[in-house]
Amino acid sequence: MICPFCSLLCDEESFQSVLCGIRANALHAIERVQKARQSPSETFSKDHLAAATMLLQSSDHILITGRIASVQTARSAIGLARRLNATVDCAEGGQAFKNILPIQRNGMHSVSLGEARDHADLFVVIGDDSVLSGYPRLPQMLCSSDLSHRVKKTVLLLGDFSESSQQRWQQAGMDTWFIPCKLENVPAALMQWSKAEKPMGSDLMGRLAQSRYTAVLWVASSLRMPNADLWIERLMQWIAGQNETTRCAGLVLSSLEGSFQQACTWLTGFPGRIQFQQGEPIYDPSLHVYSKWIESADDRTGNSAILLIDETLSESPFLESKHSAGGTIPCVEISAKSSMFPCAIAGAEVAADMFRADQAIVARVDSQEVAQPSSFQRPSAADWLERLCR
Amino acid sequence: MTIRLENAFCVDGVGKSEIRDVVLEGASIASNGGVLASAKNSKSEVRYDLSGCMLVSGGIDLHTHIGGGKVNVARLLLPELVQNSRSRTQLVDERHQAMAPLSSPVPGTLETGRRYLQMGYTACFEPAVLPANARHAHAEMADTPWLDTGGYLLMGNDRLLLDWIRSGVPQHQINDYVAWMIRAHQCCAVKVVNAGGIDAFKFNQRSLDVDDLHVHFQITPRQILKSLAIAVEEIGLTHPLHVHCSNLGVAGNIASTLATIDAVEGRRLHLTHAQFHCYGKDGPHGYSSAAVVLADRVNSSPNLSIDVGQLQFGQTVTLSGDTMHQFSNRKLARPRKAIFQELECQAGCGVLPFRYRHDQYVHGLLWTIGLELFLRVQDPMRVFLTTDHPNGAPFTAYPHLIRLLMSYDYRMGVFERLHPDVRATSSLPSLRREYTVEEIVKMTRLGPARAVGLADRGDLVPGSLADVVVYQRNDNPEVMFANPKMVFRRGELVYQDGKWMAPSIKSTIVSQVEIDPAMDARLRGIWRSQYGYSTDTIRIRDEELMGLDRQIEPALLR
Repeated sequence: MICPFCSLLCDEESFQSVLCGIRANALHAIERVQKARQSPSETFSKDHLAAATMLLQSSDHILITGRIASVQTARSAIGLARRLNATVDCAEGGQAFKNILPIQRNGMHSVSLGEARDHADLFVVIGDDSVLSGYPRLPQMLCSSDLSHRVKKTVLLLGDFSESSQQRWQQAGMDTWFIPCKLENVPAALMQWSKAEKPMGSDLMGRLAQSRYTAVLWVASSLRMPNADLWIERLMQWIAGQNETTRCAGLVLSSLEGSFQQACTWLTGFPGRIQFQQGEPIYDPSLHVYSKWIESADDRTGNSAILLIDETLSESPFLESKHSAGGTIPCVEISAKSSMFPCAIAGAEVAADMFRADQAIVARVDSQEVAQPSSFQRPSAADWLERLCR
Repeated sequence: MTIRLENAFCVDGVGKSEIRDVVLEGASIASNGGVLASAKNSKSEVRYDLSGCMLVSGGIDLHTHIGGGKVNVARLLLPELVQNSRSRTQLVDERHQAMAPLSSPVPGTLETGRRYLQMGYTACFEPAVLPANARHAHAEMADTPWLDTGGYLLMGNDRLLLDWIRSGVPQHQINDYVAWMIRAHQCCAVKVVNAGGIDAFKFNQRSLDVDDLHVHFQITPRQILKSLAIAVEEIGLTHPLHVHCSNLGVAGNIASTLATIDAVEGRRLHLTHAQFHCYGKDGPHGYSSAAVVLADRVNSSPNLSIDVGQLQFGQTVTLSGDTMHQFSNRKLARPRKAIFQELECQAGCGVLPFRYRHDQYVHGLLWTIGLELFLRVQDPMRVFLTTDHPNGAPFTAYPHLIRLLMSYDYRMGVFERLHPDVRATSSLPSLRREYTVEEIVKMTRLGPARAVGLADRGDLVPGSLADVVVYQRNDNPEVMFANPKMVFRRGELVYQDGKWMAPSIKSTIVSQVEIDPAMDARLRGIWRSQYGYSTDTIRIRDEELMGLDRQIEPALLR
């Protein structure tokens, strides 16, 4: 069986948590899902559906948000948003947009994980220990290809990494160098280094200068600084400059948001943060942000409502605001944990698509791989969405 | 349901063009002239009097980028180019007129389907499906309504293939690999983009001509092209090897293009967006047309076909797997930004926004070269109408392009606006050929259908699919081809007088080549070590594809 949430990155043999953007979502075995499912199968509640439909149809302002893991649910959510002229933002914590905004301003050079593991001889990892807590077996995965064994790989850790983090990179077989520094200063320091005369030799500077292909890795969620998008933009500019003479690219590890963003982009032309007006998507990445939408609820006239979709069993609440927590904005919740609209786990209980191997998101689970007891016969989030407002 | 289309001027490039009736019964054409006994005076028969109209089969675009990662990357990069209904009224300069009526050079799937249908197209082929993204490409195309779709699989930079060629594995092993890849990724043809060049760029090699050695694998593009051309032939794919040559856009690249043709040693070959691959080095700016050279070669070589990739002036975005040459053009990007990606040991991707201008020498020259190719290649069954959407222009430029081909005077009217050095040196004014409507129909319907191996469409012959289009005849072909009166798909009326009906059944065109079961086991371990995932993960099963398309009707190559 393949891991339903990060098939590209997981260890099929042991089903251990390996590399997944959101560990809480890393359901690496059907058994775990089975344990989580104690209640018998719910049936569609027509009353609940009618109430939710009435709420949404009587609302002047609707936000559709949450953790969408499958293309099917993304399709249904976008379709519903188009019909209801809703705002859509499924970028949890805005992490993905830290990368998207600088790309939209300047472009970028990027490399996929499979290419990097097969090709890069130098990894520049910028951040802190959260890189390995989010992607626990990243070092092993980057060292495990046939081609990569022909060249001794080097990792340069920049930022705030503990001794144990450094050891894990070493144990994977990489030459490991660590330069403690403030993250804020990294792009400027790299720019400065590029202009300096490069010594040759076996020391760090010599190793960097001799690199044939450098993959630069950062995790947006670890950038806890104001204007992180500008930091990323500067880093991307450094990467672009490197390519004038050698090869260098950013390695962006995808998260669960990726499947929604891809589907939203082909359906609407934009990766999210849109508001439909007369069925037409209006993109504003600084305005149509779910947290801003919630915070500005008091400023709007008319009724507001939230449609929250969560296809995961994540423990962390998606919405954290005085309004939603206090219940001042009515919320229809379609989630794996909801008692009103409980949805199946995409990729584990219902088929979902791992539609890009280079940015593995959710693996398709075939029907024969999905356990069939009655407790598993839950509707998918897409099923619920298709029934709403009809 | 029987539909009788009466008194239409029927053109299909097969039979005689004449006014007659065509009867659609179910999803097929039942009759193209006679009276069906079963349908005569039947109450279930719907009749349309199409006096003054032209009836043709549905258009087929055999090279248009409508699905897969790079299209989404282009959308991601360029949100500012999207014109919504509010901004559209404000932006009326040439830059944006080229996109009209599209909201963007790379619109969303719904708009793509609507606009293609509005021009009378019913099938489109994505020509660059990265294996790692094949699932994405199919999902995206499944969301493009009203169109049958298919994909060509990128293979000319597949690292495993390059390694096997270097190792000198027997040809049958390469054949088996190609067949396995085609089936696993549900594609219908093999595409090569800059053979070996995308991979060489990953090793910091900045150019790779047909007989240059790849710095790492020590093989040449000629070897790759030959191996794949043989594989395509021997496993029985209908569409020939679909090749984007080396040296895209480089002055003097006609030599590479001719070398590419020679590399396949007389086997069938399709040269795509040929306009970008037939440049000389002469002229006042060291950049000249070599269209006559390529056209002569095509005319004398029945194994060759081309699509042109005509450019149109205005704003668009170029997207290609050819990272090497997209990178070399990075400073030409307008707006000044670009995305380059290196992907999964299989290929790459370069996305550059581009603005073609009338008054720019090279841009004007490229415009004339494309038209030269159209006008110099004699057989419309072997030269196909494409803009390499969106690279040369958005696909909505087709009606305008048809007018350029059908009217010498109109063509010269545009020509007069070009850079003076283009006007002084181009041979375009000497080409007085004007395409007939039969030739247009061949290059947009019958020819592409046969080239891709679709025997069930492209004409109005009884038994063919009832994908037919009704145009109100007009002296201005741009007006006529831009907005049909009616479009039928599988016998259902799906578009009429500016109104789109509910999306009808869709097909994904796939090749049913035979595969060697042993290849699966052989690849399993290689895949695991090289890419980190199993072949099971990547394979797209038939039932999954049908689920994606929801109402899929598998269409097999014949």
